[in-house]
Amino acid sequence: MKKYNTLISLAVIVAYTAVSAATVFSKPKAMSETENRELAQAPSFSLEALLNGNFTDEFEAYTTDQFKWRDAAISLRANCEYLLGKKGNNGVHFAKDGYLIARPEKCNEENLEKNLNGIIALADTELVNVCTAVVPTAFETLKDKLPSHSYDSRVADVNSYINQKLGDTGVSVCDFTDVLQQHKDDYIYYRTDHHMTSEGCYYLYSKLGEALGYEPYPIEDFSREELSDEFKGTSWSKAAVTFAKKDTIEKFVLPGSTDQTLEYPLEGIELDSIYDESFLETKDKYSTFLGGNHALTVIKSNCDSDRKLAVIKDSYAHAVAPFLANHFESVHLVDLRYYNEDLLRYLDDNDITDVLVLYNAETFNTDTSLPKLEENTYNSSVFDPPAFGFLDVTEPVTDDYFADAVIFGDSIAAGFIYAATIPGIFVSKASTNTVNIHTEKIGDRTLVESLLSQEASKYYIELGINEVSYRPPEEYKENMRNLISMIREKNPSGIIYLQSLMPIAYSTELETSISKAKIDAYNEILVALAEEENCYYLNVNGYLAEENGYLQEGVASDGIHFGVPYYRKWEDYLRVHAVQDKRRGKTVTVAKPYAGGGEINLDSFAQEMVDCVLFEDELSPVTESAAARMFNLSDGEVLNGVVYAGSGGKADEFAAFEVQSPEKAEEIADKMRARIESRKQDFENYIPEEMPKLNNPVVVVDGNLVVMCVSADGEAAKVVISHY
Amino acid sequence: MVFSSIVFLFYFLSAVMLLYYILPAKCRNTVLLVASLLFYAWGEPKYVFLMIFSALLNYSCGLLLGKTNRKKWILVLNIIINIGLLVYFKYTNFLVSCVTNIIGREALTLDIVLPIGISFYTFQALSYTVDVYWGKTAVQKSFVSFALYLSLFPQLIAGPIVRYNDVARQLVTRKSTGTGFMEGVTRFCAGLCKKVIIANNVGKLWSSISVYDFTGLSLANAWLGIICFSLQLYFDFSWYSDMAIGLGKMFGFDFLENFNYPYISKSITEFWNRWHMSLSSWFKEYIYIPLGGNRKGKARTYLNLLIVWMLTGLWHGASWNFVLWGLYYAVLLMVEKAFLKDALKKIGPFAHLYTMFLVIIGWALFSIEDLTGVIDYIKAMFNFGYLGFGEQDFLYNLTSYAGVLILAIVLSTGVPKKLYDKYIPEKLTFVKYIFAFIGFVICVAYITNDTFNPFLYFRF
Repeated sequence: MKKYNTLISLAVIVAYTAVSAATVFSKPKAMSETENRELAQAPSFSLEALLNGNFTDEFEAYTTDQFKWRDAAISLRANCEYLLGKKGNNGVHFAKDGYLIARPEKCNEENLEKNLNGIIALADTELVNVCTAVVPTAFETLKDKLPSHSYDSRVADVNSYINQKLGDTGVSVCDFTDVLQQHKDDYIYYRTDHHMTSEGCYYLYSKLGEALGYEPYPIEDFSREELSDEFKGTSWSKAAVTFAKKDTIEKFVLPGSTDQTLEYPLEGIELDSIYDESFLETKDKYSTFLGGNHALTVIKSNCDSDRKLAVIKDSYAHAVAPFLANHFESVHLVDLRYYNEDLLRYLDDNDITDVLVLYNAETFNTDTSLPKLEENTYNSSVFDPPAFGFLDVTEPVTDDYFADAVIFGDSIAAGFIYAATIPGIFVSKASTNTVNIHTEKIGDRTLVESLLSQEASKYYIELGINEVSYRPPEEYKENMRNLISMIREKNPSGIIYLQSLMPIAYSTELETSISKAKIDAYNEILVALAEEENCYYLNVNGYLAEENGYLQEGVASDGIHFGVPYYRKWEDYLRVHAVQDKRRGKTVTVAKPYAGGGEINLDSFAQEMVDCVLFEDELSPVTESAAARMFNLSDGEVLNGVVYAGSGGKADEFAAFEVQSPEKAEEIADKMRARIESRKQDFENYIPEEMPKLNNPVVVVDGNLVVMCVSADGEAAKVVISHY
Repeated sequence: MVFSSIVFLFYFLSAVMLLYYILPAKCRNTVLLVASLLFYAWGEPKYVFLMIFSALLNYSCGLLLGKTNRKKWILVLNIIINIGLLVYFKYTNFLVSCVTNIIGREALTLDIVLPIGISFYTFQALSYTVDVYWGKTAVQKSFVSFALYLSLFPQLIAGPIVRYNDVARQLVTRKSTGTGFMEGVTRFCAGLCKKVIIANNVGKLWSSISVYDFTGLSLANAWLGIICFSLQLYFDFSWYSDMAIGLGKMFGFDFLENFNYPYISKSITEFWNRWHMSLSSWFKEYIYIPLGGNRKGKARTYLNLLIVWMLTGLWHGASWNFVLWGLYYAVLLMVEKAFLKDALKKIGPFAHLYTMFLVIIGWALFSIEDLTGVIDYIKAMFNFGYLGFGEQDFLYNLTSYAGVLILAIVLSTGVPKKLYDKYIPEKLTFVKYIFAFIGFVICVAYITNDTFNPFLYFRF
């Protein structure tokens, strides 16, 4: 052997030199098709790059990327790894039945939370219905095919985290786990790609029907057409083994749905088919569906629906969208990785009412673009709001507008409790000011705590008359600013209205230390504050006052607390001074305590009461829902009723209800006494002169009739009651 | 430039090989020197001047030592400069942090980059000047030859630490034979396989376990991880020696062996006679024996051992865990020297278990740089309350790497080589060449694909 070694050495040197020369002088390629990426190119030389090491690093990357037999080398290595007993290559498992299944990242709760917060923020705008659908990848669904000991619950963890996190919110979740388990033996995932086949996507579509509200067509209705049987997907490239089986791509077409067209609005491109079959000639055959990833893709279809759907998605949705297009006039697919416009504006402009968030579990777990949704909702000018500060007359709003509005304030605001015809959340108490709202309690919460605990999107504040006589305007301003910032902290997107202090009668100015001048000073402060703090100032004062700026004499017994007619005027003012909110808002639930029926003519009773009893205030009838608020009545609790109330300045009021049984009448009587007790608390330190009336109320139960009267003329009331 | 890269294999090595054998024999040292400097400059374009400075310094010290009477002063000065540079580049930040710790100030980190291979070439330079001082070797008059000794690219970065004395003659004349060349080629290919197929593969598992939270690590995973690290370290480091020896042979050099199947040792003493032999013998020759070795009584012997092993620990890296690791071996070696050595001979295979157990614990100290991490890791290795052998995670790790682990363990025992030597007659050497060729092709395939190509020994 030894004698040949010199020859062999020579041969080795010659052969090695030749191979090296072939490598060094081979022509560099721009792209690697198997790896689907650009290859490194020869770096340009500079002294600086040499000294900081960039040149040599880039040169080494270049030589490795451009190695002449690179593709063969990668396959050789993959096969060696397989022979070494490895369970996969480059993060893709060698699974049974020719499947190559990518191993996903572990469940990343921190990232998931950020992504879900984006979705929740979108749902919280209440502009659209949001459904979240995160598809388990093959790693979960086809776990039986994985190599031994490879499975863990990482994908299932992602899905259960999503279910748990969204469970308490208004976002609906579509869980595919069961439907995919049922069909796991069908060809629902590509063997060599991480996507789902059209058949798999059919099952996603059939399940989504429940959440999106359509009746899916049965699978037999679709005609199936094979597009390619030469598909080698991403897992094929990554695993790189030579023994994998190619995939078949099909499309499912519903007869008659051929008029679906495709548009990339941001690129100004329109196509007349949702399948771009030119991709079938390339390696990237999956892009045949919708032509691959685009920031915005719109499918328009000829189906007879006027619903429009937006899909926030990754590429998993591309093969699902053709199915969805059978049920929506248009389907708008948004890829947040590339879409940087204002999405809310887009949804609004296109009248989209339903949003589907459709991702595969792996992308959803690792993607970092969903939090854009949260920024969107902060930046978006959904409301198209007028300038802050003094609010001029606006388009009228319906009463629904006030369903999630808090009416907050002192005794004047408290008048709304019985005087309101608008729905609303009434948080107010007599004798309050900007300081004691933090200590005065309703039940076991302070006024402010109660205010902040309400689920509301609009805040009407009316406060200041109890302090205007002595508190310097600047101090009042800072107290109000503090209140605003507390509301902002709780609900950053809430609309805050600062209502003016209401006018007083001229006679009151003479008798008390409250004056028009002081009220005007406070109101000026409120205008300035509204501008500074991005709130709206409502000049109700200007609407209720006479031309001279004072309240008409006689409409308020004390010159301050006006009666029901003025609340009607106030409401009218609010209806045409409201910032439009395009949110769907809450469904209005107006309390309806009167079940109807009954034999007693309560209207004539009321008339007799007003005529015969000496009330110190002008009483007016209150609405059914106001009565429910005042006496804490539940729906249908009484057959019929009548309630008359005055202004906040006097305790006078009366109520009568007809009920089904004497027992029920006693219950209602208790509610009346509770009302009187709470009124006592209001008046005790506020207008103590009214206390005798409250200490001597008339509460009478007579069979099915129950009557309450608070007045200084209890005897007369008893007489009237005895007539019924 | 690492050996396991396309640039080295197909650009650098083939060009050097071609020039080396095409040009006249007298140019060979120059070709190798230029190649070595280029090789070094590729990774350290600035510090190549430091290395040239070191070559000039030690070359002139050698000349001076041959001429002057004040040899001692020259040598002391030489040692101070050599060690001074090493300390400055390698230990400044460590020393600063020790000092700031003591005086209770906030630690500051200086921007000092460790020049590759400085630990190795400094020790090589010292072996020359000290040997010249002792008169063990003649002064090298040719700067090219001396600079080549210091910078020879096969062992420049990670050893072995070639003593000047061992290659002095080869620097002047060396014979290139076909047999030697082919031995070099096969050795080179074998080394490449060790690195690319085994070390990188087990290293992957170690690097995935080493980022776990150690306080929640199961006993099973802890042992699997550290066994991987032990194998990775052995294959990675011995690979470098194989490559150096193989490349050396291809250019006519004969370097001494550096590893001799350390994991079959039956005592710690034996382990250190088989692991990184060039380093152990350097410390023995230039520190232990000059300190008096074992000739000055028991107490001095133990003190000398302690000093040598503290320094050995520190040589491996500027951080406390390496000092601890050195002390650990000092204690083990003392105990063995004192009484355990004889006992170990009587317990047969258990001695092997004992050795591997302690070596693996040693690697735990070695592998994790922060001390709390070391403690947590070792705790996990003995946390019998959390075995974790049945856990999916462990089974996945184990079964994924079982093939590579078995291969690595079998190879580290030296049994395949013994079988080969026994059953394949010398006539059939070409079998070896075929294996080498297949191995080379597979390695190139791995190198092309594998972005995971870290080299553990760069920090020395």
